[in-house]
Amino acid sequence: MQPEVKEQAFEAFVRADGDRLRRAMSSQYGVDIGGEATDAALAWAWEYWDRLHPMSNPAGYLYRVSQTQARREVRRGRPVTFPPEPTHRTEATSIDDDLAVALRSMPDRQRVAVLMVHVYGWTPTEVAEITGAPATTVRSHLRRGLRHLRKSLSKGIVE
Amino acid sequence: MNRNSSVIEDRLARYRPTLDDAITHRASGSDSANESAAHDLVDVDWDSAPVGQNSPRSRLLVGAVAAALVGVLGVFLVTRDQEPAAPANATEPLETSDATSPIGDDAVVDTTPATVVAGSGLTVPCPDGTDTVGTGTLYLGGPASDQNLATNGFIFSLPQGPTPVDVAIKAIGLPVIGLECSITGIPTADDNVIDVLVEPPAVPAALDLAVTISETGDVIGVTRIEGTTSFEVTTTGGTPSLRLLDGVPSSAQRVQVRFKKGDDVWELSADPTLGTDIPLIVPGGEADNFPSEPVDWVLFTLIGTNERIVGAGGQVL
Repeated sequence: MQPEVKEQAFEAFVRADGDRLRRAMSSQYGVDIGGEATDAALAWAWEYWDRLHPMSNPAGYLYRVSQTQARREVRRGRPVTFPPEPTHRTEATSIDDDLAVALRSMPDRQRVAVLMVHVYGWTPTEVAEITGAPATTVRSHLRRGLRHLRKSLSKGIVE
Repeated sequence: MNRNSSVIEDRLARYRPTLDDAITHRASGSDSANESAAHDLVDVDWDSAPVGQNSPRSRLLVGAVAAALVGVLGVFLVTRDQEPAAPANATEPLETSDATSPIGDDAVVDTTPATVVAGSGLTVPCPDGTDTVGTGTLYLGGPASDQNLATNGFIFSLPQGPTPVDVAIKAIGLPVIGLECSITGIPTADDNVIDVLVEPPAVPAALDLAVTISETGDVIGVTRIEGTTSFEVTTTGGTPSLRLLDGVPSSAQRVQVRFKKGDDVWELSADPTLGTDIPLIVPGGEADNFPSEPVDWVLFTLIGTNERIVGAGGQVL
């Protein structure tokens, strides 16, 4: 593929699917781990674009291969971060403190379902497309995730 | 609306700007983090991915180039959800009148002047010949919040908050046309009616939307949006149904219906036949996880050729 053609095709892909991938990864693994994994995935996509671009769902493919790095970071004990971070707290965002704590305490598959559907307005089917899980599974994660959040927030959980 | 089930969803909807800010902040730092991004590339375990033959050095170089490109695009991508800036060739910003006017016994419309309601200026063109059908949720109603315009959906707030023009732009801009097309809202003499121009390159489509804002208990929010297609939601045997009454464009090929029941949001597709009930029930083959819960809201879009949006409406039940 000619370099200019590759660049144009890659830019189009990032414009169309890059934010979906970044939001999904950030929802599942937190802003830091998810963001870094997304950067790495898109860098990998650039390098192996010839193989990636014919795929029917390249964003879903990148999402799945990004899991390895993200999970490794979590296993290493790196914190899953959601705003507002204690060091970046402002008066305007302090109302989200308990929500951020509750989100961090959730299982990651429940969290990505809840955030993508109720923060970003995806349908469970759209979440399923990028995560590779059946839509019924996403709905199940969604229900359990909301139940988890309600329980955590009503109890005023402490991390 | 079921308040118990909506409280957490309200908080999640209002959480979007906070989360997006964090993602934006991190993406904005990609320039300074390019080296680390390239380093991360080497660190990735790509066992499940096809492996190329490039040397580690070439991978680093390619990764650094890509990270720079991704960083620039990333900033654009995560910021494009924010209020669009007017382009050089945009029409002059439009302002609404400065007043708060009651409409009916239980409705209040805030017409505090908007800063800019000319919403065109997104830099990504629509694909030729097609519209982008968005994926956002039309969130009807909810508690007052000064953050609501930044959420996916909208919540009306008083005393300082978005005008009906803003509401209409958000209501249509996010769930109907997505973020790829330009959209302009123009106030009319009627405080409750906004002309919304959806402008993909091929054939602009004008949607005139009447926005109803009501207060119920402690909730002030948009409770109904109606365009040229009139509709009603009826209940037969406990099952709510959507019925299109009049004004369905001849180009409409189907009606796409989205409704919320319990924690689930479901989608249906049906013929846009006038006078026919479209039951708001969980599609066949799927389990209704909240059989005792009522339908909270319904949104429909009329779809024409090339997946073009030719009409829209919605209502809180």
